[in-house]
Amino acid sequence: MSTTKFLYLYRAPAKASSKPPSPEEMQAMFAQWNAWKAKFDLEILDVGDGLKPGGAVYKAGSVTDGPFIEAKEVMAGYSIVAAASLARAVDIAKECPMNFVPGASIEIRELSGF
Amino acid sequence: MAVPNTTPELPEHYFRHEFGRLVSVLSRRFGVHRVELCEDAAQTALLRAVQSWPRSGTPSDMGAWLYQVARNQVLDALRRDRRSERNIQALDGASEEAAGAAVYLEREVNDDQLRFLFVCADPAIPHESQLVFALKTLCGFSTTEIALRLFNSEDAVHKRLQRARATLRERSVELDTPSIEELASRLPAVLQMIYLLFNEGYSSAQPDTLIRRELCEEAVRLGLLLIEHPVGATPEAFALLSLMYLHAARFEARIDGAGGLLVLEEQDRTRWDRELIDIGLHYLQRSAQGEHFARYHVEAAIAVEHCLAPSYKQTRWQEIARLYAVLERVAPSPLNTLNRAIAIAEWQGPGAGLALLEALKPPGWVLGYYLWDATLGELYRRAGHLESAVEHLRRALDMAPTQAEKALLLRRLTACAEA
Repeated sequence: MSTTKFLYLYRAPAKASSKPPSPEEMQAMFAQWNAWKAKFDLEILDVGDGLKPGGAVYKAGSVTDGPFIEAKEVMAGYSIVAAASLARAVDIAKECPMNFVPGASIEIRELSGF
Repeated sequence: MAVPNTTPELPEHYFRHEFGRLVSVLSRRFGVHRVELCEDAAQTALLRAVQSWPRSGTPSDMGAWLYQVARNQVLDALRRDRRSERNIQALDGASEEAAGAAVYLEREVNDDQLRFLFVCADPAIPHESQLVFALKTLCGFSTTEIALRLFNSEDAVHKRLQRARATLRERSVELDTPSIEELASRLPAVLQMIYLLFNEGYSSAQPDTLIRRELCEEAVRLGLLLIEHPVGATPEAFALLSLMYLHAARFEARIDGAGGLLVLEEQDRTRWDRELIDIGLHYLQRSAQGEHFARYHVEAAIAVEHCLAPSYKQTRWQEIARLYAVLERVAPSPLNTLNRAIAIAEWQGPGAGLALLEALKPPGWVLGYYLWDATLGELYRRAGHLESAVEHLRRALDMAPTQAEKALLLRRLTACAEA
């Protein structure tokens, strides 16, 4: 069965929720990511990485500071998934632990395969 | 390189306990006056692990990985703030250490944790703050989690933490890393802190038994850490451990199928954990050295009497009453008298127990304590003075902190009505 690659873009509220997670909560988060990865092992090509805040934008000869989207949201990370269809990619995203972050969203984009 | 697909499951509470190990090692290395910085670094290291381990696989030595990240966090923060002479010294020391391999050996980590436990017991830190601070730093609970466990407001917990940190910040650099031997005089305070922690879990009004068990387990964990070291392996520490195991053995049997509380008389003794009782007896044996007979010895001896009695009726109440009398001498408290009265009532009848309590002039806080009225009510009921019984049981019902305790008192009130 042929699959298509999808990029998951994770967005989170720019203002982190009031408190940092406790060690016990972090262990639960870790278990959730591992479980997600194990469940969709064949389809998650790269569980991805987080993105540091800030950065820079280069455009037509000039460099400006990031971030690049609305200030109330930040691009928090990404994953790459190979799924049979967009519908399947959405199903996988529905179980992604990123959903446990209050106010977070996952943008699912098909790679065009140039 | 292929990333392993399955990650071995982490031990329960691994992150929480690792937090305690990291804070202990870092604050030995960088000084307890920098404890807040060390706590932040431990937090960051764990968060980094959550983000990076699912991607790169769990490192073979997780502890060393976390220590490296946390240590670099502290060093970065010190570099950003080089103004202070102390920071420069700390940085110099760290680069010496970096020349050798960064050590994270279990034995040393245990010593560091024990040292930190003694740091928490600093006499300049108030007792409530010591306990809260140990729960935060050594046990890895968040402020919210501590507030939930101790029935405090988060604000109160936060203030107690700040109080402890402020005291440690004022400690001079010379005092930063005293050896455990130098801190040995704090052993009684350390024992008391562990005892308090255990009691918070065992007798607190927290209705969630899992949460309460967790506090008891932390107390036992710290107790075991203590006896690993010559400074801590004292008869008193063994007696405290014995006491904790003997109580823990009866933890589950105190709760009925519906989550209600069962008094000793109602408990199914086959549900007592024999394995834990045996461990308790083992530590009690080890506690029997030297002349000193501390309150923990007496309390463990009382717990043994209960654990070894074949039934409630066949309990050696005379011996228990005698032990409570000893306890009143080594640790005077009206609550110990209350317990002695219960034992005497079982041994010589409710009238004898009531006589002891009626002769007592208890301080105001005891009069407002629901167990005082609950005990009087129960003894009056058994003695046949139903009017007094109802009066005390009603008052106890008003003051009982949890639904489970209220339900128990209601059962007794019903028994009075039926009599």
